This record gives sequence, C-alpha cells and structure tokens, in this order.
Amino acid sequence: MSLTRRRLLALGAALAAPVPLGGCGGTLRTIPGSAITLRAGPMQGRLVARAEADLDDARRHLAAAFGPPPATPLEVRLVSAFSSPAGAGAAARYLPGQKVIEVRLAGGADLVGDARDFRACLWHEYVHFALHERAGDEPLPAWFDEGVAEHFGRYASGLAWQPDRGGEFLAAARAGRVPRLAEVDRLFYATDHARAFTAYAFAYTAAARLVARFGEDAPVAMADLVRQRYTVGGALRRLYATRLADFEADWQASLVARYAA
Amino acid sequence: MGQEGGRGRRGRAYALAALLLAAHAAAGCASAEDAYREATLARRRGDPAGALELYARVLAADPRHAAAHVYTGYLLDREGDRDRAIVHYRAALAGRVAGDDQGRAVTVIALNNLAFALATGGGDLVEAERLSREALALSGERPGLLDTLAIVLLKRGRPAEARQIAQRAAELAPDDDGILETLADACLAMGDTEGARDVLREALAARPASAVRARELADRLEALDRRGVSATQAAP
Repeated sequence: MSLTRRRLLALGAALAAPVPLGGCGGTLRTIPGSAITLRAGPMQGRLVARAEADLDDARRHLAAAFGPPPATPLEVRLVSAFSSPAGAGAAARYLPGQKVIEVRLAGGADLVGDARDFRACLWHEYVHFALHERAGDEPLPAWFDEGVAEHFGRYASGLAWQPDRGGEFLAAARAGRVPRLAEVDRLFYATDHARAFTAYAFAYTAAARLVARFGEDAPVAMADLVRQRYTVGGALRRLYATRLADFEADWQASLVARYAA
Repeated sequence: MGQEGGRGRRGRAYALAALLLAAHAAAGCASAEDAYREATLARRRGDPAGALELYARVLAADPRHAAAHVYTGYLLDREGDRDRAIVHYRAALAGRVAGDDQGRAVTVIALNNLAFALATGGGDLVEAERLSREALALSGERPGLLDTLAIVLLKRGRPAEARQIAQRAAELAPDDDGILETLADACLAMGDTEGARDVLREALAARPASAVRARELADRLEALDRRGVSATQAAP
C-alpha cells in the first residue's frame, strides 16, 4: 500500500544523521513565542526574517482549524542540499522523526522559485508538522497527509489553485479518469515530476472535499483518532459514520461533475 | 506474513511493513547500508527478486541486520516460501536490539509475521499466540497485530476470544477486507452465519483493492447465501 511507502520514505529520512547547517557565522533564531528555531547559513539573514514572518502567519492561520500550535520544538533549516537522500526531488520536506523542516534553496541563496513559492512551501511543511503532531507520528496515507498540507498550507498561503498545473490531473478529471485514493498514494512515488504533480493535485481535491463535507476541523479530528490507532478510514467512520469507500466515490463523482465535459 | 491461500492479506502485510524503514538497523558497514537502501528501492519498484538479491548482499556483509532479515522473510513469505521466511524472522528476533525505537519496530514486525506464519502454516500455535501477544505488548493495539492474534485464536479453537479481538481490529480499520474476513471467520466458527454474512457484505462495500479480492469475497458470501437457502429448505 502506498501509504506504507510514503511512511517508509518519511521515516527513512528521519533516520538519517542530521547534517550541521549554518556553520560558522550562520543564523540560528527562535521565533518569539514559539518553539520554532530557524537555522540558515551565513548571509541569509533576510531569508530567515522572511521565513520567520511566513511561519508566524502559518501558525496563526492554522490555529483556527488545528487549535493551538504544537508545543513540540521544531527546527526549520534553509539549506542548499538535503541532509539525506530521501525526497531528493522535492523543494522542501518535513522529517517527522527529527521534527525538522528542510527547505532547499536554489544556488544556496535564492528563494525556492519566488517569495510566494517559498511561503507556500513553508506553510505546506508546517501543516505536515502540525498534522503529524496531532496524529502522534502514526502513519498517515499520503493522499490525506499531502492533501491536508496542500489545502491548509500551500493554497491557504495565498497561492491560487490552478488545476491546469497539476500534471495530468486536469486531463484525467476531464476524461472522467479519477483514480482511487490508494492509487493517488502510489502516484507520489512516481519518478517523473508530472505524475507527482498529478498526485498532489488529486490529494488536494480529496482533502478539500473532506473539509467541504465534514468541516474545517475534520482532518484534525481524524488525526486525533489516528493517534489512538484508528486508520483514516476508521476515523472517518467513527466521526462521520461514513465509509472511506463512500467518501472516495463521492469525491470521484464531484471531480467528474466539475471537470468532465 | 504474506498471503494465506489466496485470501489476499497483502494489505495487512504491507501495513505492517510500514515500520520497516524506521526499523533500519543502525549497525552495519556503509556498503551494507547502501545495499539496504538499494534493496528498499527495488522493493518499492515492485522488483521482489532484485530486492531479495540485494537483501542477501546486506546479510552477507552484516549477518545480524535485523531489518534485512525481516524484509527477506516478508518477501519470501509472499512468494510462498514460508519455511525460509520463518528462518529469517527468527534470525531477526535473535538479533533484536533492546531499548531502541527502531529496533523495537523490527521486533514487532518479526514477532507478528512469525506468529502469522506459524498459525497459517501448521506451526506451533502455542508459540504463535505467545509471539502475537508479545508484539501487541510491545507496540500497543494496532489493527494488523490484532488481526493476527484473532487468526491464531481461531486456529486454537477459541472463536469467542477471536471474535472479540477481530471486532476491535475492525473498529479501528473498518475498511480492511482482510480484517473483516477474519471477523467473518470468527462469526462462522461460533455458528453465527448471519453475522458472517453481514461482515462479508461490509467487506464488499469497502471496495476491495483488486477485482480478484472482490470476487473471492463475493464467492464466500454467495456460498453462505446458498447454505442459508439450503438450511431454510430443510427446515420443517
């Protein structure tokens, strides 16, 4: 099952020994009133300031759906290269075992893409952190984990959802070829970027549907039950008396209704 | 672990394997770790033969690599080579690392998979129950671990206990058709054909991952329906 694979990837990354960052003259800063430490290399003071502002916004925004920010210390590293091979193709990643977010900076100093992308990446990864904390680091299916991070992170940070930029998403949805959620999970392990974009797009729409049907606090309520060893499907059933298969069918139908000719 | 005579327990097997990278042993030389990483990638690509070969290299370099033993056992079990799988599960347990989260995760999987292999392969059921309960004690209740214990208890002729445990597993994971099938088996073992029918209907409603699996469940349900009709016709 792909959720397993996702979890394997995350835990594999978490196991790698952290690489010291910043080095002599680097920046190490704690966001006031939080348990978040920012770490960056020398000459990255402006980036750190921007990251601090973006993360502070994310914390405040997320509080409405997720409740008070986690008290667990989180380290956010702005790096030129990830400290281990897992997720090598990504711009940023969250390592649950270490409670670390790594954001990779092109050229060692530039932002990921532009300022909006940088903010979106930080928000996305911060949602992973908050969600995993609620779930007690129990495994989450990738569609749920990534979809919630997209919904409450990337597309809450100010970035607009653009279905035509979701890899093969739009073509598939227009043709009525909406995968099952387990298939979405498998797409996250595709080696080509287009399929990974497709996975994120489908996952986002699934999370958005979940929130539309059951409310903004549904993902967190479900994560709380995952912490108690329920599967995501088990949590959905207990909280909303809905089968995962029925939710899945409803989500698939909603995409076909919206996008299919 | 693996599949039990076509009953398609693949999902549960994967779910338990979820902890395996976490269980990646810290010890071992760099080349063993490189091979281990490559083996994991091969497994993810759906190349069990390649993965097995790489795990063999890991074990040649580091014969105590518990995670490589568990994965080797898991892959062999899925291929139907249960005897060799058991050897690897036992080797993983022999090299267990105490007091370490990752080592504990490997141990839990090895205990559970060995219990499952013994219970479904005609092995020592007393040992299987002990192993299964040890896995649960180490990990806390998880649907897959509860399912294994329910299967062991069914094999030991204790359907009431099995049903109670399978019910808890099904509450935690109501969309897992393997767990629901175990619960149906427990219902049948207690003579509750209607209960088994309801559970199998629920398993079908959960949309099993493959058409083959859905057919298996539908066939079982149909067989129960036929039995019900026969019983009704035979009634005075």
